[in-house]
Amino acid sequence: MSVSANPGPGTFTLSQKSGGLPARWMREWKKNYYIYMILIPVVVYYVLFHYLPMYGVIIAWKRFTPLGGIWSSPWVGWTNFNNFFKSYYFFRLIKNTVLINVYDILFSFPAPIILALLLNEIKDGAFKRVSQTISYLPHFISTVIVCGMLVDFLASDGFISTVLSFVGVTPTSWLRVPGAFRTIFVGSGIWQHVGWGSIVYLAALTSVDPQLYDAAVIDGANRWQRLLNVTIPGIIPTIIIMFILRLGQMMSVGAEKVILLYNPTTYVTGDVISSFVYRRGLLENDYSFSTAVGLFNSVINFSFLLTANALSRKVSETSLW
Amino acid sequence: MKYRKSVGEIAFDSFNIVIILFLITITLYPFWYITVASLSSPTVVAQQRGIMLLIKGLNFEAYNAVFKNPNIWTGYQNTIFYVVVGTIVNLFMTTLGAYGLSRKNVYGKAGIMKIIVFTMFFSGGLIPTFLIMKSMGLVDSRWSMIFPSAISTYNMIIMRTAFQSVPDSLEESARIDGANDFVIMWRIIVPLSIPVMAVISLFYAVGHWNSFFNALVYLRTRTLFPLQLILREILITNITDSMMTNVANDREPIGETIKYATVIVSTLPILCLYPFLQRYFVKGIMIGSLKE
Amino acid sequence: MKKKSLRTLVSLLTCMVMLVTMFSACSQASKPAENSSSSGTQQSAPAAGANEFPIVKQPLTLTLWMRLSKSSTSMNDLNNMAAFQEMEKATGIHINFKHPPAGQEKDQFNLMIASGDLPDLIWGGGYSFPNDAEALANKQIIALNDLVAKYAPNYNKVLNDYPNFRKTMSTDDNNLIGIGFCQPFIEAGGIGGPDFRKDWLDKLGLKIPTTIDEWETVLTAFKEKDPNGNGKADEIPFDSSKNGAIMELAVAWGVLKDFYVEGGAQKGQIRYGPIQPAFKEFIIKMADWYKKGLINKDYLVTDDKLRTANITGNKTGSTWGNMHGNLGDWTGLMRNDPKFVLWPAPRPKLKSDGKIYANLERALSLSPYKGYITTKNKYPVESIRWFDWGYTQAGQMAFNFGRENESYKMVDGYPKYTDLILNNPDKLSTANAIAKYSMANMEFTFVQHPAYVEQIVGSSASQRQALKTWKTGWPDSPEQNLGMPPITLTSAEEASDKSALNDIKTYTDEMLDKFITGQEPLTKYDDFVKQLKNMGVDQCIKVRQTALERWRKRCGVEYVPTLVKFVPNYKNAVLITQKGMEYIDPDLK
Repeated sequence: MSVSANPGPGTFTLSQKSGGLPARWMREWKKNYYIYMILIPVVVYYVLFHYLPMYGVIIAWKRFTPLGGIWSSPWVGWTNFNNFFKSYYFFRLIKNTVLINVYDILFSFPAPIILALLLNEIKDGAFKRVSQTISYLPHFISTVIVCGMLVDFLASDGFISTVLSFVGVTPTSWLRVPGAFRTIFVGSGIWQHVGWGSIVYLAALTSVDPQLYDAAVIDGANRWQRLLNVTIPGIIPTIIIMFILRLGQMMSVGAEKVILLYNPTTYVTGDVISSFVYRRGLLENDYSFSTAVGLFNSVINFSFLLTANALSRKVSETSLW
Repeated sequence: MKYRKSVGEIAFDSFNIVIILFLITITLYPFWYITVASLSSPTVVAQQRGIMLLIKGLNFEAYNAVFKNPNIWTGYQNTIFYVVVGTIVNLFMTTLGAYGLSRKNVYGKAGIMKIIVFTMFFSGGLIPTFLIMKSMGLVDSRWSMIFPSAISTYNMIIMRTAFQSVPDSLEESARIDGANDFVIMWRIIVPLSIPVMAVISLFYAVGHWNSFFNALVYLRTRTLFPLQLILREILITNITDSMMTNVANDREPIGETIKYATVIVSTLPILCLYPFLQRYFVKGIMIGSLKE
Repeated sequence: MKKKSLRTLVSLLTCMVMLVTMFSACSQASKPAENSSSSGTQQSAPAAGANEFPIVKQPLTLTLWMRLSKSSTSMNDLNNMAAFQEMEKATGIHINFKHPPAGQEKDQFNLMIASGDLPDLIWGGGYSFPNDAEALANKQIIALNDLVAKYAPNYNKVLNDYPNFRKTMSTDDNNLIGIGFCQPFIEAGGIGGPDFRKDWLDKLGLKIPTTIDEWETVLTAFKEKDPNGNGKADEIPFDSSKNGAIMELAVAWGVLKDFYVEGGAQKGQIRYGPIQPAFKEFIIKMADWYKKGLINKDYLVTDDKLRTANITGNKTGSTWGNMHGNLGDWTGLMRNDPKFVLWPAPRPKLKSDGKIYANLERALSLSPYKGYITTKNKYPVESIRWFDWGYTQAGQMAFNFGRENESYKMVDGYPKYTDLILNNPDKLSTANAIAKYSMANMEFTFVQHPAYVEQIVGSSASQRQALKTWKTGWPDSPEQNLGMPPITLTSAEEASDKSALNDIKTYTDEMLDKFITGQEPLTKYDDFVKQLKNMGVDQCIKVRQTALERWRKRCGVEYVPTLVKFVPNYKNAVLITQKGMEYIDPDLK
């Protein structure tokens, strides 16, 4: 809620005429209570299943054991957080996590958009439908299997080494090369998810008014100009929202895939926060530690999101709020 | 509207097709490999190092192991229930939320939005959620697979974005005609957003189909287990079971190929869902069909 | 109209929220709910005379949480297993099993404890309380000392026969809290050792190596002389899945990669391998072998699946694996190959007059898992007697072999598995077939029977030889066992230990692999040790040493090497292949 000189719809000003907040609520309710009735089940859902359990987050400041339960486990203050911050590897973990996300945003984010645009340019028909369907098949394959295939392909006698040897690259076991880890990680992600990721954009593309296209053609625009002036602007709101949400993931890299692909020699580029925490969890079920680290990640992620959202508000009409 | 294509456009179209073909090949390959490997001899599969184009040593052992498990059919049934009922509940709740948050006349909308997005980042964790569910009596019941996941904030935001892009003029004229929010939502916004509704249904349906974590946590009675859980069990048991290859039966350790068989068994049905929904992805289905 | 509906709505909402908050508050504030999960009439004393079976005159049901494990391929509920059916018939107690989904046992276990949703009985197959003493103090399980002494004579006898076993089933202050699976034959506890391609050794005129230098000679020959005869230098002299197998070789230097005990469990000191001087020598040698190509250059990205493929692809000269899952498996897979013979080698030593060391933790605990009786159980006497049945003669037979004349037959007083197990008509593997009728290859409250070991191990020559070879030098001298006894750390100790440990382990793993593969020069090894000390490894050692002292004081018993000198008799074993019988020691035929 913002305080502004020119209150628009959806905001409110602190300087209200009469009654203050409750009175304002009553007025709004009376005006169009249908819409609030519509929202009530939604709000109840969030309260029940998301906000009520939030008290559990206090175990980040406790030494939680299942024996003690959430209430009886002893308080340890900031110990869990300190254990994480003081770790020998703290900076490396953050660096790896963020870098992988940066690579991912640079390459994985645009890929589905480009694919959607390319597919959009194909005439409707069997080829288009079949291509769409095939492109999202890998999304359904579990990470375990994809990584199993990757391990085979990237071995020194594997498929990729063989192909690369044609251009003079000596066959290596690529998963042993720290410098290659991020490329492998992000590249395989694109391979697996580009098709599925394009579905949202394809749907958005269908909602661009065809009349706009016709008008552009009448105005003499060629394919490229139509793309720039009609198509892309038409899906910009979707792109922006997806981007803001994506920025809210900067501190998150899934542990499962990393663990399946890394080994001690690639810890230096591949070990991320989640895989480090996972290894620690293997020594013991350390809920407290993982909650503390998770909290830290979430705070940073959320800050990214807030910043991105605020920027987007200034620069465009699209934002989360 | 017909017009002649320029040379540049023809070049682009061909180039486009080449790229798409390349993409299809590399994205089709993993699935092809899995299908072929699931029907081949495990020893051969292990030695092929990831490249396999044809079935070698036709072998149905993996599928046998999967389908022999008594739980697999209840698994399918349960999953279908969770997918259908779950998606309906999802669609209902998400549409309500997306509609409510897309209208300009909602007081405190920004605040509600923040509260909702906040939950994407912060959560109490497994144990408190479990305790809450327990106090509501939902543990070990079918509803534990439906209610906690009733709304995915991510999906709701996507739907809201789509609702927002419906021209205001349509809504305004409807209000002038005396329609209230229910009517507007039901008769105007939703019909004009069919493509995104289809996409979100697909997302939810696939989400339910693939989900196993909620089941892992909340379900105790085996007859309620969804398919993924059963498959996971089969997988784990067979992988750890390489203690005695039973030579007398000529049975090879099928740990490898059973992985692939479970993928096929679990994804083929859901793959059939997409063609149904694809028809909604047709351009211009909404605007223009509704006159002002 | 609008005002009224608004008010009702608001009041409804408030009520709902209040109700739910009340519920959740109640469930945390109060202790676990009072309703007992057992049905049946109350019994205050054992019914049919003390220590006779059946235990109860009227039906009694108890809940038991345990994993399904290998049986899950053929059943949903362990009540379908012959062994448990026999148990119910004999004891009169019906069990309501609560099976968690496979792979998720630990999480469900933790949830169960955290939510106070305890069953009557728990079988902790690997998912036990983080600290038994604390579980006891927190009133989640009960102490069994009196119960066992009075009502469980069979179990009591096992505890007395194997003092180490009693130690494992008790807490540091001698509260007996567990009823466990006893494996007096260490061999059955899945030991491992080095394996070599015997046919390659024969072809090159070499003997099975016993010292590190002999190993180097053999591995070099594997590398250079093309023993698989295909004209390509594609042999992998020594293979390892990640650095697992490589690290096993450290025993030749008398060290282990992790925390271990030097000088025997009773008198020795806790050490951390990588900071020991001998370990540095070991790494230097491994780096040398790697450079010479004697170790698989791609070991870092090799997993078990690939290692098996290398074996079946005739590339591997040697590796280090366990008995059933590796040696037995590989022998079975390659049974049709005319030349392939994989043969066990003794653990290497540094010099020919040196000592052989081993990591045999199981020999100290004699048990991996235990069962508990929870505080929610209203029938502790009946429950302990129920557990006790497993240690009676009938119980032993049922749990090890299943049902007589179905899954086993008594042949001259020897329980022999039938074809239902060894040659299952539904094409179940032997392991799964056994798991359909008995708990022999899983764990429960019984003592593992030698006949099981003899028939399983006896199924191939290589395994029989492995049983003998991998025992060399043990149990004559307890100091040669570097393994750690089952010490327990308190929660407080663990808390401070954990974070240091994660850093230490990450660092160790990373640096050791870098040293071996040559990415990091060996001159930096001392810096590595110094950094480990900076990370607090000495404190970790101290904590474990204290825990070790506590373990020694448990049960006030002097350490007794309790290994039965197992001399297996393979007369009744069914061989799956004749391969290797020509190499075997004559007493193993």
